Amino acid sequence: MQYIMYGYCSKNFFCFLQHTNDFPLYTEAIKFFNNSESMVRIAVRTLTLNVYRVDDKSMLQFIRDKTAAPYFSNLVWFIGNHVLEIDAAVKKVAEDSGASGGTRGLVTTEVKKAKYYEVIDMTVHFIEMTT
Amino acid sequence: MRLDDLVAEHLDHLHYVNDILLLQISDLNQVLVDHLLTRLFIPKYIEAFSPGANVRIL
Repeated sequence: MQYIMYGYCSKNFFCFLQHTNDFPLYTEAIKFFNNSESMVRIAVRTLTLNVYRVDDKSMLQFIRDKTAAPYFSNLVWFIGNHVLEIDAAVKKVAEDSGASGGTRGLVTTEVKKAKYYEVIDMTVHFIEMTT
Repeated sequence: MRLDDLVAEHLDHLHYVNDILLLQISDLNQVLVDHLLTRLFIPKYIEAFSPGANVRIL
């Protein structure tokens, strides 16, 4: 596990895949993608990235055929949920500030404080990459 | 959860997606990009700009 975590993956390490047609280290790890502990979530992300980085055709074929669609579907669904939570949080800031004239200013300050411009920047970057 | 924390976590997600895309594994990227476009960018981000938008979880 630590070898994967710290990037010491190699093609030889994954040769067992061809015999078992399974990859429990990866398939079990991705089940913890949305774990409540942030350290677990980070570990899962590091592990998946290090696995993807290994240049082994049969392993990538396995990941593509068996796990990619459900895993990425979950990933995108969680990101979408976060977007909606952020939307609700921004609206709550506006409501909490009352009906005074400074509402827009307060919301803008909160959004700036939360580095939301970085989110917008990254999102535009993705839309450019995906189209 | 506070707005700062939500945005920080959202940024973590975006950086993770970016890291996957930068590995340039075309098979994986194709699946990921399909999901991003059809389940996030178009229904949530782009539709949010339309008047009277009612963004929902798919």
